[in-house]
Amino acid sequence: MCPRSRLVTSLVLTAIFASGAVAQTERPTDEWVSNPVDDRTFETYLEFFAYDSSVPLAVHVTASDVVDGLREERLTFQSTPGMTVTARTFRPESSTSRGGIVFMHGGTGNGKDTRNVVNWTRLLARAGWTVLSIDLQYFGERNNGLFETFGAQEKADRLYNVPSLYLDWMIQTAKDAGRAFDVLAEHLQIDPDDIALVGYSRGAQMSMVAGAVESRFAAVALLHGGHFDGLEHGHRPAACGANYIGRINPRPVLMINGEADTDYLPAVAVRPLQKLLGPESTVRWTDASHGILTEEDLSVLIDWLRIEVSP
Amino acid sequence: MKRALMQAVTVLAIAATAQAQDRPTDEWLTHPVDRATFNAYLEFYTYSESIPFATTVGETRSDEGVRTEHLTFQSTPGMRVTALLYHPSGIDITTAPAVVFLHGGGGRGKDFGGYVRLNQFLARAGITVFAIDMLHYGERADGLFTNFGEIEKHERLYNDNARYLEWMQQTVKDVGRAFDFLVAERGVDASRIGLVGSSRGAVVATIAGAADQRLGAVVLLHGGHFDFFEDGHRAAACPANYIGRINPRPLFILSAENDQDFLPETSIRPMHRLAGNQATVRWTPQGHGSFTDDDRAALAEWIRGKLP
Repeated sequence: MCPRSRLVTSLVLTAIFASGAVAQTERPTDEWVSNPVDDRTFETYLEFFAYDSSVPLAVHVTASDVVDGLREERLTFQSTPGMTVTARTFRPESSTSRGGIVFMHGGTGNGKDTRNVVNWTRLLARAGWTVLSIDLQYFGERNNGLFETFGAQEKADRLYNVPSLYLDWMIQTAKDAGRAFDVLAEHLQIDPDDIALVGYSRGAQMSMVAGAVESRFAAVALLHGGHFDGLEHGHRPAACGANYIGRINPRPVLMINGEADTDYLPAVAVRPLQKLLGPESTVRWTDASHGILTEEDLSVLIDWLRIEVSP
Repeated sequence: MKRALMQAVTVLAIAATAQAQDRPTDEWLTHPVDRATFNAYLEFYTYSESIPFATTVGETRSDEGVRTEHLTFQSTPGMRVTALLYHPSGIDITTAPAVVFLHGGGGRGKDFGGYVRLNQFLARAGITVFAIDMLHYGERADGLFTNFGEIEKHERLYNDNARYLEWMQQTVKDVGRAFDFLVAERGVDASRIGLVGSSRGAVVATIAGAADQRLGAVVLLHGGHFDFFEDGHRAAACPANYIGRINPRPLFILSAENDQDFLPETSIRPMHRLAGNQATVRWTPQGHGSFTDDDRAALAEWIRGKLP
């Protein structure tokens, strides 16, 4: 390489690193990433996440089929009074699962029916678990018009950066996760000691909170989640994952994140959260960008789940 | 013989009263939560001000000096509040003090005759009244209650801790949005808006009045801590953790010596002790929910004085 080319290359690399540094450090953050709320405040939060377990689940199976050895059902259940959750179950047709998984999708318009989410939940079911994959409120079959395009900016403007609405949504989602647990345990006869929560992207952000609030989940896997995504700039402490993730401990947590994630930036949105994890946690970094789970990642997830919750 | 009989009756009466007063209570009535916990509660009562009101105006009528509008507005996403707006005919609404009114636990909600008469009285006294239906009541009845009997209301809401707290959150937000509505949609002076609650509405108003510091004055009519059939609630839904936080804003409490629903010794006086030094307490000899002309006049005078 001639000196001139070397200089240009060097300048380009410097510029890339510099822009990367700017992007990684100039994103909004908040005080709770370094100083989560104390235990008493957390206990106060828990009051608002409690739900009425006497409300009938009213499970209604709307479709059932066997696909490649899996029993797949579409169903609805009542989470809180008047709030219906749309969901899908995937389970082995030829055997009975002992353990189960509640799966929460990322921020895509199709929710639980997003192609990669369906592929992953099927994979988990083939590994032996009964998987209950739910639509988050406003997504998938629960789309009520809050979003029209499901573009990142629209979601940020209408939900993620509207602190009170986001907190309401967070509370509802945590309750939905708890009620999904109830569906697995009561309706599908899954051992309540062997139910894990798996969240992907936005679903991982919600799972940090739901996993801490709902201590019946034996293990929590957070796939490509973080603190703030690329467009978020603020939330209330009660909706901040940093105030919850450490409180999943002593239950085990698996975090899988990509070094090239441009949505949840590793330096400002992921690593600070990982520092809050308890000692029972497992962190896996890959060189992937946001949302890309390789076969190896999925193998790691399955192996980890097998240790924590019997399939 | 007659004296002995009288003594026996008196002893029995006292014993019965003591038994009646032996009601469930909770720790917060003597030791409310601290400021940090209260501040944590406040997070959960916030709402998005950017949600459009999407107001609908129904029947409007004028009757004996009072103009009454039937309205609905969006409080939180997808949650509509039904309301009646009373204001004195011929008076510019932007120049009058106003109160948001919360009804008691009757099935008709804001449309209960006693409340309609009270609100018309206040309007004739120059006070705009924005009476809203609380969730599950009046025009917002959604089937949670079928007969609005005491047992039903307690089993399905008041003693269902999680749902009661959710309901409390929603109602506090509805009050805040009613405040916003008066200011944004009717031009009422934000510094001259108070809150009045009666019976169950007074319990809720204790919490809403503390949570929404914009309310310039708070009135609690025949409220208290636990009513006769309540047996527990979460700390965040306990009015004892809020009533002292209304202070230093003015608070008017009307209580009945013969209240058989909120018992004076166990449910009312302990709340008074937490109310703070800005509270005005008026005791009347009536039973629960009964207002005299003097009570109404005292109420109107107090509101006009505190929201001048």
